[in-house]
Amino acid sequence: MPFTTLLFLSCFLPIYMVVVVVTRGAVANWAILALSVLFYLWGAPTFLPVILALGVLDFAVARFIHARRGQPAARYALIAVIVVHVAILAYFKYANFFVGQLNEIRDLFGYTAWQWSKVILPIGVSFLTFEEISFMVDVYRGHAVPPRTPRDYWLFLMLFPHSIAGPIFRWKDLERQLRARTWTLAQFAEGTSRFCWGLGKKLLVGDALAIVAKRAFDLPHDQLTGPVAWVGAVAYTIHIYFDFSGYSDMAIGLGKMAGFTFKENFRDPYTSKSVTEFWARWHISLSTWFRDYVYIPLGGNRAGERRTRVNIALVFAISGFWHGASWTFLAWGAYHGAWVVLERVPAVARLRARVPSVGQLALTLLLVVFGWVLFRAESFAQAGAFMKAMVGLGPSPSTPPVVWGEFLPRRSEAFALVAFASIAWRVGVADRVRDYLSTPRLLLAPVVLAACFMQVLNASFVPLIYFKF
Amino acid sequence: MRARLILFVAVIWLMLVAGVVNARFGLVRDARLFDGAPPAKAHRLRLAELWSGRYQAEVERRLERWWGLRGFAIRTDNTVNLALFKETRPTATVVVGRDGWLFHAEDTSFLNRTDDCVACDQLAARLGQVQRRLLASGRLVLPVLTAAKTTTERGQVPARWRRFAGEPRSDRAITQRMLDALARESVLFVDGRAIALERRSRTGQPVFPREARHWGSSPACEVFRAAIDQAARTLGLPLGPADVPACDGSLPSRNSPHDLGHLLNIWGGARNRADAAPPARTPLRHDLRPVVVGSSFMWDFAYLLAQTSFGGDGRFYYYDDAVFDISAGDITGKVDPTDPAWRDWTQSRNLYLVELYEAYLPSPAFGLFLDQLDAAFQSQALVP
Repeated sequence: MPFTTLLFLSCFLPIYMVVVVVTRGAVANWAILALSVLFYLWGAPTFLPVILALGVLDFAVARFIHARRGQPAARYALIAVIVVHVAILAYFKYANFFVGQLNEIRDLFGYTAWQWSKVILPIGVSFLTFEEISFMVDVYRGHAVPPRTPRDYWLFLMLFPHSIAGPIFRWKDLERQLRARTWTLAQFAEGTSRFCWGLGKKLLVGDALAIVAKRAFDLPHDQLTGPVAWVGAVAYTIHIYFDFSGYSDMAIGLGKMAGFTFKENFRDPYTSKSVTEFWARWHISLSTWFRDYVYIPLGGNRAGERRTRVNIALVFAISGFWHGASWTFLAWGAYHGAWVVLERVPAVARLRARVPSVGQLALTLLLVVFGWVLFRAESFAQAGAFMKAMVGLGPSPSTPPVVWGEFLPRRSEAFALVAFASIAWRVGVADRVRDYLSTPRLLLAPVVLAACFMQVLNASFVPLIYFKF
Repeated sequence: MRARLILFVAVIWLMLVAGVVNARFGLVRDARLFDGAPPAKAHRLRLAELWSGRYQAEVERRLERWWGLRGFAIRTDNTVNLALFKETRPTATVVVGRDGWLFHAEDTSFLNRTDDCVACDQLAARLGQVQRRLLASGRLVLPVLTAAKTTTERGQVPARWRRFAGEPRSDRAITQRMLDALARESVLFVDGRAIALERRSRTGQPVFPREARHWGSSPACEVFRAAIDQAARTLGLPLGPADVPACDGSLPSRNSPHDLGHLLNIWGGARNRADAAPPARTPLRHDLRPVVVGSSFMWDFAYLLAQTSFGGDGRFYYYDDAVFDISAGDITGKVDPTDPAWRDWTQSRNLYLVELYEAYLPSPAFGLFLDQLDAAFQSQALVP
């Protein structure tokens, strides 16, 4: 049940709002858990037993590890449980991909393809796996204590605001809030306002640009001229940020309504002056997860510059592959890793320091836009065609490839301008916390919500000129 | 501060529940939507369907239709969109032209097509084959080429909606190719497109109303007259002045002049209106026995037939699917080529007016009628 559906907005959310206002303490936790179970039951019923069972397993193993801290048994238990979680992720997320790859190899050698029923990816499984691993590692390291009851752990896993698109939770951050958190009207109103603004970011801006990006990426390669490719790439750049950060805003807002404080997941990433800075601002909960649970265990920057660079490249490649089961995602991760490594080279750093801030910002954005092409493309051939067109080496078809009125609606143009204006404005006020209780935001939030409702309802309404007899 | 926050939260909460509350209790009458489907029936909860996700999908679909202020929301959204951006939503089927002219997306797509209508050659060959076969028995299959709105009112299509700055490729690669193929196959046909364009330049009047998908009744009448003249000449059945109505602009039209305007679903749009079917004249002569097969453009032909001295007992096979009985002035059933009654009646005709809508080419607007007709006559010897 995505937050942008009518069912969520009209039924689930109003109930949730009432529940968090009228309940406190353990009752509130039980009620939120019940709503979260309902949320999963609605969106991924077949995955619900898996997640409940994993909750029990993790709960038991965590207590075992905690009781035997410092003993080899704890280490073995940790390895075993991580293997289980990675195996589950591998099955749900990567099985189709690897079977497809194996079948291609079999085909090369003249063997028939394996028959395989496609595995359906349950919502949030990637986030869930990382949360479970971080929980186990933190308990093993002594950075966190296991929950006292499975309820709290289930709540940590299934807390519905973060089920779809994160942010990735850490048990140690949430545990205290599950035990005791304060609820205030100001927090509740702030969460409500933030939810509305996040919804607007996703539905009004993100979706308006998604149409354009889709049309560009659906074009055959020989129709990808420079202007078309640039429009498509820029549209996707805006779309992915407003879509994803909009979802994070909604999640954080929903949490705040109930008195939870979730960590920020985005801090104006398109105002970054380097790719390294971009990754400190983009999907922060993921970046920090990789830092703490992959990069640092690999040695981080403690084993010399050479090893550090290898670690960075490795972490980015894994991070890329985590985003999707395709070689293009891996390449996207490697692409970003390469730039981050390059930015560590002293000569490059000196050169960059000479470039004015605006130039650094523009260059970073340009690199990120090219990266998104790799991320969005369904194949290297498509990514190559886009990039060739964007650098002026695209085809010159005899007929114009698109009808601009159809390809780029004015509404999308207008929201692209709004997006650019908002990003440009944030360059000037970078890192200033947004005040969701300011008078303009409170006054405009109902307008944004109304516009979102209209959008949701109209999107499903396609009238026919005549019903066929 | 506290009161302000309570007010804010209360407003948001009321906005969230407003649609469901209104749907449940009917507090405010929702705005009507043109061509919105009726609310879907409630779906019974079954565990297996819940498990598969089908139940959830059905409930969500139903909620979207049932939501109590849907009409208000959609009309407001469309009105704001049109006012701010001078365009419809990307999923809409209406394209906003200059000066309030509206076009159907199928027609702008046709204007911008880049393909070659290779299959037009086969279609023309097939038409020629069937036409010659039936003509030998005194029956005429007469194709009528109808023009798209983007052909006759091209100047009203905004530059953003045109792939080609000058003459569109579709003129040459689709329509002209079809015309050339028909000529090559020596097919007798009526070029309704040329008649409409000639009329436009002669009178300066548009062929299509500003907010309509289909042509006006007067241009339709001129094409109709040309078709009947052609048929009468070919079949050797001379017509008198009273046999066919004059194209004097007072003719009824089944097609609303505002149908595209209504699809916009905005506040303050024109009321939809289509003329009722005119009472059919009792046939005075029975030597010309027409049937019409085609798209909505052919409604005008059906209405005009009602006014002739020979077409009062004719029929219109709408998209070769629904049967419009001219004498009854209503849809009376479905086309069923397996039904002996259909075969007998269809075989009793001697004029088959079949539409070729240029925007649909190479698909004919008459569906499978040609094959059905051919099959019907294949099964028995042709008798004049």
